[in-house]
Amino acid sequence: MTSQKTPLAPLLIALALSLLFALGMASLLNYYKFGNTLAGLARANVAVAAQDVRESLALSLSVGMDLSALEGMPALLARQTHVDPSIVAIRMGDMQGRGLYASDPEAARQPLPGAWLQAARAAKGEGWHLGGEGEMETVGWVLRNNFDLPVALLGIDYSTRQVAAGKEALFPVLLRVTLGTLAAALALGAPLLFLLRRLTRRQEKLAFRASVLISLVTLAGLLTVSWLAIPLFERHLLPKLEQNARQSGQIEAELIQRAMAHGLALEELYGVDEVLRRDLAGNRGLASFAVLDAGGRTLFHEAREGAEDEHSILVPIAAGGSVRVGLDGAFAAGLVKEMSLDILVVLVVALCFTLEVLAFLPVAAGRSDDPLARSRDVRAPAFLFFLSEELSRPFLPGFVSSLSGQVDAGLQNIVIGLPIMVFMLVVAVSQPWLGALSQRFGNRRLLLGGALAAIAGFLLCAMATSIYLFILARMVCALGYAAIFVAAQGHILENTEESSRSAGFALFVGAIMVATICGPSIGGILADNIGARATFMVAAGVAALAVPLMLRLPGGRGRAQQEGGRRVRLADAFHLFRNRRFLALCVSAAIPAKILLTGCCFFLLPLYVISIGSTQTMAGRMLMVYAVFMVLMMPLAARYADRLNARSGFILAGLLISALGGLLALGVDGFWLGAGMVVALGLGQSLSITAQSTLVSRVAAREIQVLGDGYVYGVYRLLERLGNASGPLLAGVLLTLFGFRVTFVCMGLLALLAGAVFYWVIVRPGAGGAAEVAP
Amino acid sequence: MNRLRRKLCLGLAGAALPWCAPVLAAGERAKRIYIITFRGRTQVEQGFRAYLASQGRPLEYIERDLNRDSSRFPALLEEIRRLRPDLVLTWGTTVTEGIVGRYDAVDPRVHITDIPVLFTLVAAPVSAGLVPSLSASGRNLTGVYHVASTESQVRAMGAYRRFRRVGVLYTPTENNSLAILRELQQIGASQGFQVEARPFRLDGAGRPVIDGVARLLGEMKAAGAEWLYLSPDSFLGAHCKEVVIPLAHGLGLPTFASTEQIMEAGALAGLISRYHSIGQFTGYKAAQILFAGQAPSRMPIETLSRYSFLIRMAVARSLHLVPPLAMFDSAEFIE
Repeated sequence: MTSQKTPLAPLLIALALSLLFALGMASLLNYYKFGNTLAGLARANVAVAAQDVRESLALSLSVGMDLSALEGMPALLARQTHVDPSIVAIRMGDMQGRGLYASDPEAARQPLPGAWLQAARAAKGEGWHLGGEGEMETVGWVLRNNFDLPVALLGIDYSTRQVAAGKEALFPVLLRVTLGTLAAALALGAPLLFLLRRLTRRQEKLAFRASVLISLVTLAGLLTVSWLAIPLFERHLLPKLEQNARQSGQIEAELIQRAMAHGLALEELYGVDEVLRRDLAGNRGLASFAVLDAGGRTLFHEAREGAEDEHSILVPIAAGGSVRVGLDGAFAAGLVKEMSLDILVVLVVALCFTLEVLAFLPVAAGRSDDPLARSRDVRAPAFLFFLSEELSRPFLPGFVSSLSGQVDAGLQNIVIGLPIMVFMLVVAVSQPWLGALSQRFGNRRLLLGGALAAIAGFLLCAMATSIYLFILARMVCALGYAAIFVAAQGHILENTEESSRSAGFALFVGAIMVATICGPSIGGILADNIGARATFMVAAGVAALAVPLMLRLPGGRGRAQQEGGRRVRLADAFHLFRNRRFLALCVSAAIPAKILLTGCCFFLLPLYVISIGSTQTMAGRMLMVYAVFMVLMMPLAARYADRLNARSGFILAGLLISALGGLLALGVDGFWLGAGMVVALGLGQSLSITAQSTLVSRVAAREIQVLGDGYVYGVYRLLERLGNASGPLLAGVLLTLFGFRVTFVCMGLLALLAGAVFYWVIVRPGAGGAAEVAP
Repeated sequence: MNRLRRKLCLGLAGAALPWCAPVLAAGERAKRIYIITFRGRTQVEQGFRAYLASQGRPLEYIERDLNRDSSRFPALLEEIRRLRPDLVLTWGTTVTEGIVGRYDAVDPRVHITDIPVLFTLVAAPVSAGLVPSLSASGRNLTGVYHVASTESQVRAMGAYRRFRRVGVLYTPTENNSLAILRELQQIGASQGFQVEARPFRLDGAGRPVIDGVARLLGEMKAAGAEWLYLSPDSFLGAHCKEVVIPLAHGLGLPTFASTEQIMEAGALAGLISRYHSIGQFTGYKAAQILFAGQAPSRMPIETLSRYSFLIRMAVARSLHLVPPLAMFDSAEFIE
């Protein structure tokens, strides 16, 4: 083979796409991290202003003063507006929303905004936050009396102009850095790829080597962008940090002043270190606090471990002496470091993209003898489409719960499961009909129709204002999903011979698997940063990218229908159920496996991760771990199950390991429960899935001879899909009744029970004949 | 998820709503509350009435004072039976016991059983034998106690100055005093401090006497006590101002008060409930019984969720024990 047979263009396109995606995501992450940090610092500042008000109110109430007759309150509120320049107004009212006091006397008696009351009711603890219109936000607190009864609402309106201005200032610089890095990485990567192509003699190895090279260049680009972000963060956060430092210093100076007003000298003060330590813990970005006497001698000093005391601010104490606050020089670097897990995820996804691009643009071009060439054509659009669907995995349940406010609290968890359930149900029942449609209109049209339905569905999801609209939108998505599923498989069936068919399907399954790795992880990051609705828009965009690729596919009518000639109906399943072992396989292995998948992974896990105070990004990462286990373990498990002729053993082991994932909740909690569960489920499912479908042909050998394998498998798949649909429902009911941990345990017990039944009917020696008898 | 929380909170806020909305029902019959105090009017009844007044419901008060004279009980009990008020409010342990009796020694011919009784300012309702446990009385009685848990007092004391040895004076004939001592010793065992406990001497009739207390305090100080904890012991309370606190401070032993009364007697610091707040909380309980139809037998016996930390600066300066800086944020100072 000579090198001129390989065009350079696909490699360069792969490089460019990988870099574009990775650097784009990294910059997005940087931008939002910066914005969130700035907003957090601003909010912390504002909260300080409320502290005095709360203390003063508590004191007044405890000595028996009436809430509506606090003489000093208006002056105190007016004074507190000067604590931070972004504070616009402070207001206090009673729990019915009647206004009592305000920093602006004119506004004192006006009723409080209804949104305040709502937000305060929604806030379980004491604090609440409202993103207002334009550049105004409100932080508020529910104030309680000495016997814990809520008595008053305190709200502070503050301007976010400073935060917005900071983000605006950063944006062009960040963009320049990203584009510069992109150009540099391209300039570095292109010649390297050229060299690689020349140096690689064996074409089969080129794709692999090129993807390694592209990943390395991408990694270098990511590191560069992250490294360059540190000084940018430093420069743009500095004004806010200085402001926070000055404010913290001022508060300490006032506290010390209060003590000195009781006749204590600076040297006499006791417990200063404790206060300094507390304030350090509460103030990110500050490195040290010190109290100096009038002569500048350090009397008390506390420093944060690992912080770099770069420059400091001096705040005088009225009665003499001063407080020195040191800013942490390592703060910006720390922020960037916090993103390293996200960056790693981006890198993995970029690698997957590279592999997909290289698979789509065959590096060894012109090989018309490739029997899979036409199956390959459907892989890229299928990948893009499944990717768009997977994006919403980690945040869908959380988003639904935010829509389900109107729903009765008792039913809420069940309702949250509805969109997933309805989606799965639509996929299950629509497939046979879609098969008929593909025969009538051809796979290309069905693919396009599916993509259009999905795009419309995602857009509807993004705009849904109620849970009912959202369920409707998800039904449209499900139709699109099922259509593409059926049509892509039909396309492969049409364009492969008997001998290459399973390789063709493997391509298709590969696309789905890669999408399950990339989608949830990126979807979680996007949802946390740009919001769930915008992420649905992104999904619509990704699905739209698949359309031009679908248009390139050959048209015409479909030839064969997937999964055999006869349409499968649920009624037919009962006929097959006379075979007890087929029934046992479905009920004790196939259906529980799907219930665990949709119930635990798709429904419970995202909700659980949020409930323990973690992020949607984390839920996405966990789902990614699940997918990685599937991708790595499934081929291995399939090979060894076949080689060892021990399929039922693998299925049993898979069920038991899955059970372990749920039972983990007996002893573990929080992050490790989630992580342990995805690992156990990923391992368990990967062990059993392939073995299950192979075993079908063994336990139902006679039926297959009579009815055809397409028919038998059709029934089997239909039952699996019904399992998919019942997972969220079951999990939702359990969650409503028992809460998370017991629900996980129940799911584990379900798998355990299924394992026992499976063992009794199929594995147990003498259980109606060994399952492993060849047909 | 937020919505989910919101739902839950709506439920909680809803439960509190009837008490926030003053509804003046026209023509509503005024409920009658019979108040018995122990030693004249205090801030407690003021807080009580202030809270109920904010509810805007018609009420009628009948005020009686025991004036520390137990012989007045029969007349009071007779009057309650005759007037049949809607609620009886009893101030302090003595008054409450006289009206409702100990839970294991109720005599329906003497004690009030068929009218809801609400007690307030009882330091330790369980060890006083008024209720079997704080979860509910099981009879027509509920109430509010006013002493912070011994554990939070220990925490407050430690926040002022960490200690490894604390002195306690107790009356061996007072159940409440013994119960608190035992509790303190348990907390000490788990938190790693010693309790230097000294009982008051008893006279021939088994009554405690204050003589010899100087020697007891001297022993404590010599044993290394870093605080003198002044528990809600009634004999101790009666002698704090004149004898115990001046003696302790003279020995350089700081004092920590468990009640407002002891704090007023001159202690260095104390974690106490404001009488007015206690009264308000009692008013809240009264409203639950009178207007929300709650059964006293099933209501929990509770205290405030927030206490006042009081510090007497003059004492702090003279003992050279200045309060920790953080306390200048939240404590109340007495000069």
